[in-house]
Parts: sequence; C-alpha cells; structure tokens
Amino acid sequence: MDSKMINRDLVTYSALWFGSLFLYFWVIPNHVILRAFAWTADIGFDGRTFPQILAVCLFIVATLGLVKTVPLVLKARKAKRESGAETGAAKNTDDLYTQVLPLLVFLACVLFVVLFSTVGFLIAAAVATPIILVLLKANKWYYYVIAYAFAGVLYLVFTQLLRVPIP
Amino acid sequence: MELASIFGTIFTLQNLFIMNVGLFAGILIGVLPGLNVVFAVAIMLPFTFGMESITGMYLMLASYIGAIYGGAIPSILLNTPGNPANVMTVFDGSPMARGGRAGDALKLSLVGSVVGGLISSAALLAFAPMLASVALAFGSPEFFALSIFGMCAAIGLAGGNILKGLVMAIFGLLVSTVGMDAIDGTQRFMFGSPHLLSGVRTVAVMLGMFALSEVFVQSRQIVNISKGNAAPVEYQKSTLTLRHIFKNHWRTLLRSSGIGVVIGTIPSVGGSVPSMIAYDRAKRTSKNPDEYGKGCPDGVLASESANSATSSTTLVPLLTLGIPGDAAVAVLLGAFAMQNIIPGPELFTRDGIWVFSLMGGLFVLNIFLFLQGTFFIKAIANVTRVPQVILMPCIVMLATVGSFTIANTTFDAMILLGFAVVGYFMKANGFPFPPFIIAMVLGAFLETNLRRSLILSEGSYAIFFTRPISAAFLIISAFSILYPIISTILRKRKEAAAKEAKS
Repeated sequence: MDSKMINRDLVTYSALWFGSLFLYFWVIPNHVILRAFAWTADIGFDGRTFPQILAVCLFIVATLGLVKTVPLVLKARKAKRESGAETGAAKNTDDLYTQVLPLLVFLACVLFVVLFSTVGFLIAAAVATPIILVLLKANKWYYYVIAYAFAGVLYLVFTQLLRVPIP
Repeated sequence: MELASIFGTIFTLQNLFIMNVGLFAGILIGVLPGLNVVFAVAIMLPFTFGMESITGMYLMLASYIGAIYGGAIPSILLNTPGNPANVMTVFDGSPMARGGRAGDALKLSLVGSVVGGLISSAALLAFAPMLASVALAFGSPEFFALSIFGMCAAIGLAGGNILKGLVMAIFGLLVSTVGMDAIDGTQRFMFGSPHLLSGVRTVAVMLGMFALSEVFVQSRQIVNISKGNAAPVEYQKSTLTLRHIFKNHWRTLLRSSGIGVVIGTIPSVGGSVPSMIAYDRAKRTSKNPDEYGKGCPDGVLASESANSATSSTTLVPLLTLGIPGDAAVAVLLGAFAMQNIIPGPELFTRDGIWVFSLMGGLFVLNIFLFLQGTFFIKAIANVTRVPQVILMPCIVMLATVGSFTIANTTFDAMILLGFAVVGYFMKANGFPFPPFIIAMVLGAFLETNLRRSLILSEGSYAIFFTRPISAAFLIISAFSILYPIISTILRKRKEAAAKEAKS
C-alpha cells in the first residue's frame, strides 16, 4: 500500500471513530424520536437500539482500523525520513487542473440540479451540458450537438413515451 | 393453462421489443471500458417507472445480460476488460484479435455467453422452485440469519480489506434506518424533512453511487486519456462455424458453464471467480496447455461461458429468499421494491405466473443475445471507438432525471448528488461497494426479522442459535468474515518463515 493511501486511511478511520461517537451520543438521542407507546420496548429493543448497535459496531471497526493503520503510517514516515525523500515536486497547471477536475464537474452537476429544480430540464441541459463538456476539454463541435440531441431524446422518452412528467 | 399464461406474458410484442432494447443498451454499456454491469442495471432503473412490472424486469435483466457479454468485446479488441468478470477473456481474446482473428474471438465469446446463459437459465428454472418450497418453512430467525449471511459473504468476497467492507456494510445499514421504522413507527434521522418519512430512496442512492460518481472518477481519466490512447484492433469477419465450435469445444462449454452455475448461486461471488476457475480447469485438462494465453479458443470459451453462467443463477437467492447475490442483483432488488414486488418463497405461490414468466424470459433473452451478437457485432465493435467524453453529460442528465422521476421531487436529486460524492470518496479510498448496497437493500428486512424474532423469544437472543438453520447460517457468516483474515495471517507467517529460512 502506498503512503498516500495509508494517510488517507488514517484520516478516514479517525473521522469514522469520531463520527461513531457523535452518532451515538448526539445524533441518535436527538434524531431518533421514540413514540410514547413503543411496544417493542418491552423486549429491550426499541427504535433506537438498532442504530445504537450500528454506532457501536462502527466504533469498534474504526478503532481496529486505527490500530491497523497507525503503525503503517509511522513505518512509512520513518522510511521516508531515512530515505530523505523530497517533500513533493512542484505541480504544473495541467496536473493541478486534473486534480480539481472532479470538484469542478461536481459543481457543474450542482448547477444542473439547481437549474433543473428551478427553471426545468431543457434550460438546465442547455446551460450545464456545454459547461461539463468544456471542463472535460471536449474539442469537437459535434460532441455538443450529440449531447443536446441526447437531452432532447431523453425529454421526449420520459414525457411522451413513459408519460413521466419532467419539469 | 398456466403455461399458456406464461407464454402469453413473455411473447407480447412490447416485452420482446423491450428485451431487445435492454440487451442492446446493456451491450453498448458493457463495451465502454469503465462502465460496468452494475452501472448498466442502475442506469436502466428510471426507464422502468412507467412500465408494467414484468416489462420493467425484462429491461433490467436484458441490460444485465447484455452488459456481461458486452464486457468481452473491449477485452478482445482493446486488451482492456469491460467488467472484472471478463479479465480472463483478455488472456486469449486479445492475442487472437492481434493475430488477425478478432471475428473468431468475438464469435467464441458470443457462443460461450449464450450457452452459459441458457444453461444457467435452465438451472434457475430447475432449482429455484425447489429452494423456494424449502424456504417456505423459514421464520424470522432464519431470515435474519440469511440476511447476515448475504452481507457477510459480500464483505468477505469484496476482496482486499475486510475492515473497509465492514465499514461499508454498517454505513449501508445506517442508511436503511432513515425514515419511519416498520415495527413501532419511530421516526429516525429525518432531520425535520417529510421527504425522508419513507426513507432514503434506494434508486437515488444507487444512481448517485454507481452512475454519477463514475462521472467524477472518469473525468480525470478522460482528460489524461485524450493525450494519447491505444487504438482498437480492426474487426475481422469470423471464419468459425457454429458446428465447428460445438464439435470441437463442447467439453469446455459444458464444464465451464457448470462451474459458473454452481458458483453463481453463492451470494456475492460474481462472475470473476467462476471465470478464473473455469479457465484454470480448461487449461489443466487441455492437451495443449501451452497454447493458453497465446490465443487459445478454449480460453475465451471457458471464461465467457463461466461468467455468463452466473447471470441467472445469481437470481436463485434473490427470487427464493430475497437475498441479492451481488451488487447488480441488489439493484434489481431495488427495482422489485419500486414495483411493490416482495421476493421470497411466497412469490412462487402468490405470483407464480409472474416469477415463471421472469425465469422463462431469460431463455428468450439469451436467444436474442445470440441474434444481436451475430447480426450487429461489427457495429457494436465500433462502439469501442466512441469517446467517453460524450457520455459524461448524458450520464449526468439521465441520473438526475431518473432520481427525480422516483417520486416527482427534486429532493431525490439532492440525495443523488450527496451519494455521488460519497461514492467518489469511497472509490478513491478503496472502499468496496457491494457490502454497502447489499446492506442497504437488506437493512429493513434484517432489522424487522431481528425484532420479530426477539418478540417471539420475549427478548432472548438464544433463538438464533437454538434453531438449526439459523445457527448454521450464522456460523457460515462468521466463517466467511474470519476465513480471509485467518488465511492472510497464516500466509504472512508462512512468507516470513520462508524469508527467515532463506536468510
């Protein structure tokens, strides 16, 4: 396993460890509202019990994950110190763009969903589709035509063929 | 009379048309590297909303079968497996194609897929009713234990990290608790939103995790690939006849299909394991084992017939017990729920015609697969040249519209976005999806049966261990989780001992 992945695992298991405590002590008591008459309470298993069991399981698994990952992180850091590895080469603009691309595509998807909810599918598709294609460096004009044609066909299939109303 | 009703259900013009549409779409998705079987099934879900339940199921199953076969095409022409189950096809399919026999390799993969699929369908038809009649005697403790088994098998077989599999299963179960609980109506994790009263909609979650997250993952690859991509091998017409294939390779076809059928019934195994075993068996029993890996027709047939032979038998645990066999079948379970169909042993007595029409339809689907593969193979092979960049906005639109149409609310589109982000981070950090999706679809069923069992036993957990079937499933579940851990520890110790002995 590479050191980047080990560090990521450490962060993930730490987040899950704190998350499980947060879930058990704050989320479940405040967001699982027990009814005055919960007849399965007689057997000691009400609506909160199952989520509580899951929170405990998550805590155990996260702890095991930390126990497994921490020594690996220490070992990787020690190896890095001993080898005197460089602290990271400078990234060029292309690399940086590739790194943030998923985030940019996500934001374009958010824009599509917001427009879809407010002004409807066709306008959302007209605006967000070229943005996604530009972000992905689509350089042929007919890619845009195909995407618009797909949007039109999708709209017709749902509204006319399947009789599902789309805003 | 019933047989006439079953045939009447299958052979309507609409159903036959939908089967072909689903197959074609499934093959196209399978051909595109990076888009897998689960994606194909998940993306088809929105189209089933306006359809009758059996028609919708045919569409889903057709895309499932089509995508399994479609994955063989890039394995042969691009030297890149379309699905994990097609990895073994690369070893002989690609050398055949590069040696000027692309058409032969594609024909062998088609025949292997169809024969595997037909044998698998026959096995489903033979065994499912038998298992369902046995399962009629199951009670809540047995169903609880079975649900645990389904999840544990998914965790144990997800490969790599058991802890990550466990995290995903717990996460899936937590998502399943959102909304009003089925036993005493407790409102859970609704955060004041009435949209969550009936829980998080499975379809929105699946479209987010399997479809939309793929756009984020692939975006980086698309930008990098556009800098230089390997050209696919040109299509060449096949010179093999069906007679030649059956006459010379019938042993490989039957043996590999048998392996796929048997292994396919085990929850969460998927198509990769039977494909590897069948390939290995074919090589071991061959008179010319040296030919394997250099373009041996038996290698392609073994891999493809074994992975396709799991296609119908993975439905055995789903239809008879309500336990999904793998992630793609878990999406099918989501479609069942959407159509208000509750799989399980009662399905065979309550909706016999429906379930037998579904199973019978699988035969027809495999015949259509053969016809499409024979007549459109050249056109399908050209799909490997479609730039993936075009697909990305199409996936975004389809996933968003699909999530909206579940309940005509844009709230589900927000859920879609949220789970797409979760899916992206899970993929980036190596968390396996099958345990999540199986736990999520089984969550409510598992909790309900757990609580019903405790009501029956007046709060005693001993009920799960005093009933033999339930106890057996729980023991197997523990074994399926512990076995990979123990075998890894033993292997590491062995390696360390060997290292010490060397030094």
